[in-house]
Amino acid sequence: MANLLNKSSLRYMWRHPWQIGLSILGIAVGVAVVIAIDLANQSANNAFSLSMDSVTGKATHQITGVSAGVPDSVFVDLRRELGFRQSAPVIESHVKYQGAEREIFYLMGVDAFSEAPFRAYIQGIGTRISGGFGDFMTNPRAVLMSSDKAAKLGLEIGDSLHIQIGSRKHSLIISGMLKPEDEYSNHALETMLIVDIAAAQEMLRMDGYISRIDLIIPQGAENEKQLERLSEWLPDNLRLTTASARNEATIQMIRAFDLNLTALSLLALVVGMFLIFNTMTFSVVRRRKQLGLLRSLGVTRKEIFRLILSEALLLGIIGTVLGIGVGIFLGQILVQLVSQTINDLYFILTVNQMTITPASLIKGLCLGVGVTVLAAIKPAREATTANIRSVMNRSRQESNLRDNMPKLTLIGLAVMALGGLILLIPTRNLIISYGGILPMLIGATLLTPLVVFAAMRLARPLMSKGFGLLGRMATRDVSAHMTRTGVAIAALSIAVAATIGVDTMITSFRSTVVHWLESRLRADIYISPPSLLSRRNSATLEPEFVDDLQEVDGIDYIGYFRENMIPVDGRMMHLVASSLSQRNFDSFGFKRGDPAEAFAAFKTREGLLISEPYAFHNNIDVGDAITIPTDRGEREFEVAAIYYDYGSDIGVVVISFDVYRKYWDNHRISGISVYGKPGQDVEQLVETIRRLPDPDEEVLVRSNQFLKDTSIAIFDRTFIITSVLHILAIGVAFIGVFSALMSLQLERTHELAVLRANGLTPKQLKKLLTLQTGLMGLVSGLLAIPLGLGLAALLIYVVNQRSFGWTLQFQIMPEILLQSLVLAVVAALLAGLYPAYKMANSSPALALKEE
Amino acid sequence: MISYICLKQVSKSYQEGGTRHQVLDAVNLEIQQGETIVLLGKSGSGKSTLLNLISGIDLPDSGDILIGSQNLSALNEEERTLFRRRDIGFIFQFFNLIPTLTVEENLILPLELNGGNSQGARQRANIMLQEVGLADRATSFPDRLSGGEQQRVAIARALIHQPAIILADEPTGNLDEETGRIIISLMDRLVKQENRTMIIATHSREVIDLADKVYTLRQRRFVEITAEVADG
Repeated sequence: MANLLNKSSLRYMWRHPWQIGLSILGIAVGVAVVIAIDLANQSANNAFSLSMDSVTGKATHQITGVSAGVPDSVFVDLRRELGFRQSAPVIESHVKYQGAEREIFYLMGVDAFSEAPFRAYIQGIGTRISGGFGDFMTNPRAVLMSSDKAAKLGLEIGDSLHIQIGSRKHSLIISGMLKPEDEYSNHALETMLIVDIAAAQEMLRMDGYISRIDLIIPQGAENEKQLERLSEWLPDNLRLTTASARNEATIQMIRAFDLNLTALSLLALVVGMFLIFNTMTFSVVRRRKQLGLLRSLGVTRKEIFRLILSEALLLGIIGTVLGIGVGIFLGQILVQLVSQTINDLYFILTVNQMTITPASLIKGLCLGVGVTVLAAIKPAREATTANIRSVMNRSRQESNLRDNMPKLTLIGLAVMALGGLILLIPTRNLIISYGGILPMLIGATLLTPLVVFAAMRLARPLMSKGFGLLGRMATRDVSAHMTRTGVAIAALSIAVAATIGVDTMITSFRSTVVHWLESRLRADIYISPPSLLSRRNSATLEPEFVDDLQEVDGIDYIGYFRENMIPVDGRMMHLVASSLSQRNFDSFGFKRGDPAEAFAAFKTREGLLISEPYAFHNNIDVGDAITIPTDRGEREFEVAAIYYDYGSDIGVVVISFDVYRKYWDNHRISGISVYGKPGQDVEQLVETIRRLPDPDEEVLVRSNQFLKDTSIAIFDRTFIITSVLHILAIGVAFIGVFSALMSLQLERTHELAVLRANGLTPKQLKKLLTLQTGLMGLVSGLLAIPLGLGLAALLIYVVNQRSFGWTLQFQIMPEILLQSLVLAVVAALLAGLYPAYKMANSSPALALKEE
Repeated sequence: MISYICLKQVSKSYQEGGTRHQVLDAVNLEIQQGETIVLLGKSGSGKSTLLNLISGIDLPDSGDILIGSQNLSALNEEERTLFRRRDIGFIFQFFNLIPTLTVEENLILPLELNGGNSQGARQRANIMLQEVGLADRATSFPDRLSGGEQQRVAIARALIHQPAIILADEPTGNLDEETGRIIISLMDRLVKQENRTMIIATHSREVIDLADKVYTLRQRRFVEITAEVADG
């Protein structure tokens, strides 16, 4: 392509810095959001892998128990009878640091003599251990920790480290520091506390048991036989799995969460795409005459197409590179929100550093540049149609659009129908689901011209009555400059629709959860040990506390339950054993199964109650059998009913506590519900129960209302990231509208100068432009309402359903719709302020001369 | 003698809303190499349409347009563009210089599009600027020039790549009388000295003095009139 053409392009961009700058900003924010979410997701995944790597070490296989762990005698027999020398016993638990900062540590109890082949850092290989290793072996309170972490917490060798395991508080003595020799090991060890296995057994009250046995069994025919022999030798209640199996099952829990965040982040990019489309369209419109001239000089259509595309490419590259930089910064904020949500909902995770991989950056680069080029294709094609005959005729485009409106509307409806068809595909694939939503949105934007024409026609008499000639002119202006106003209105309505959609989805979800909590939480008091997770009790109550509770006066009934996470077929099963009385049972809402029959089956025939998400993810119905690993080997249980539950997106399997006691060995209680006697003062009862635990024991005793409020607070917290993302999307849309209005008014410099020359005062001009932008905002808001509600319905009935299997009650909140309408009008008015000011204060003589 | 430009039974109409507006109806026209032709006619009579057809910007509804040995109707869009790039020089009423290129760059552009080397292009641009008396304005942007100066640059640009045909659409239509006269004499000198074929669509009686032949459009067909008749 001729150098002069490129030079001309660059000069054009240089002469329109605000337009180009805003466009770059828009694409940068879009890319930044995508990159930030990707980095946050990846950092969380990497932190998990890193911590799992350091915990697993070089182990290839693990022997695990189901509820109580592995009897320590099995380890001894394994070495003696089967000669497995490369084996190591491990006790593990997450523990809470009792300091000023909220820190979660992974406590690992190890046998130093067996560790050598497994975890090099414990033997000082690849790590230096300062302090005495001998003390570590002999003092039951001795602990090793990362020197970096100790320094951060201001701790030194010999200092006490106060931790809490479940409800029990412990004080350890730092006997040595792990000093990793590389950055990788440093991050891996930051959250680890190493104690001797006997000390861990005592602290965790696992007398005679260990959490697991790690094994190194390399691949090979001989070893296959060894594995077979081991499997046969193991008792029914123990299982031999690969070391990675449990990690994979755990990480599987956040797949849908990750994907939904990614999809939401793409929304910002889609809005950014509109912005690029907008900018390139304006730049083509403004240069139609020049492009037509170039065509008359013999520049081919292909050359014009390449010219416009290369301009977009340049903007895309600059915007994307900037976006990547901003994304890395934003990612550091989002990674905290993502890890907070994972900690609230799924598993304990500490993310100490952000992982920036070339793959992630390349992905951002491809997306940013790709989306920009994609958005520029249509304007570039339009540029090639600039012909010399019509270069002087600016109204031609508008009349073309009016002529093509029925066609455009039909195409819009067809694209929407295509989206609908994609959504009808019976799949659980979220990419296909989002792939159906996108054409729905794009199709809807193609209806914009029709809606705007109709709206302006309806508004004209009213505007005329209210604002006279200026009112009439404002409505005509919006219709007359549809090629420019239409894109701005579409971009704003998409962003506002996203607000309505996401807000309505969250509100519907929230009200469903509130309603569910109201009906489910019927006890007066709930008791649990402090849990490291918000949605699940990761610890158990001390048996002595449970015994003492039985003696408290004023209690009518005590319900209790035990929670276990059990890996089944590569996924985690959340098994809850519940004492469930008829009065608890009545609080369940059932989706499938006869309640009376289900209760009988649950109590007397080992029947299971499964939550809606569990049934959905595992494709299970009432009457189906589920195989569950027990301490007596695998057992089949029949599903008695499917109930509504919003506490866990992976789903819950509920079994009677009596049945649990029969098949599982660890009977410690995760939580208790207390019903006071009629007339009992609940607050007084709470106080009495709070006095029961030992001084070094912490038990949470919460009233019904407090628990409901806490649950809702956690719900709200998990949606903070969603809100942040859609605020960013609105930010991009605002930039888009601002850019569009600026372009529009500059395009009309001559026309407005003629109005000024004919006696329109600057004040009147400002009023005209303000009315026009206000109308554009109003139409965007009105268009966004049906679009947003449609989007909400898709999020609720398609995305949520296919991601998590939840049935949510769709709830339209008039205040959300009103807020969104106000948001659209205010955004448009704000975006129109500067152009109105600029135009009203520019010299009409100059504008007329320039033309 | 074989005509250089030959229009045979050329018709052209445009759709305007629901009605079709016939602009040219079975027009026949023959122009020899080196001739200067003036087209007279009211606004909207079809003068510009004819220029568009001869430059290959537009295609006739029917009939053939032969330029030298080439039948434009048989060329595709790309081929017509390349033909225009090589063989046509345009002069417009509103000058139509590229606002983001300097005067010198505006002149170099047609040469660069035709694959000329930059050193040679620059030398040629300087010669042309001297010819039109604007050697000192090479680095100025078009918006710094007066209308007359812009049109002189436009003439230089139209001629710089030595096209066989110059098409001028109301070249003095946007200039005052005195400047118009200067432009006409410049066109006359530069076009005639290189023996180019030139077709000028105009209202201006003064332009007629340049013409070898004068045509006017009557009932959608071109009719040759003498310069005296045209002068009225």
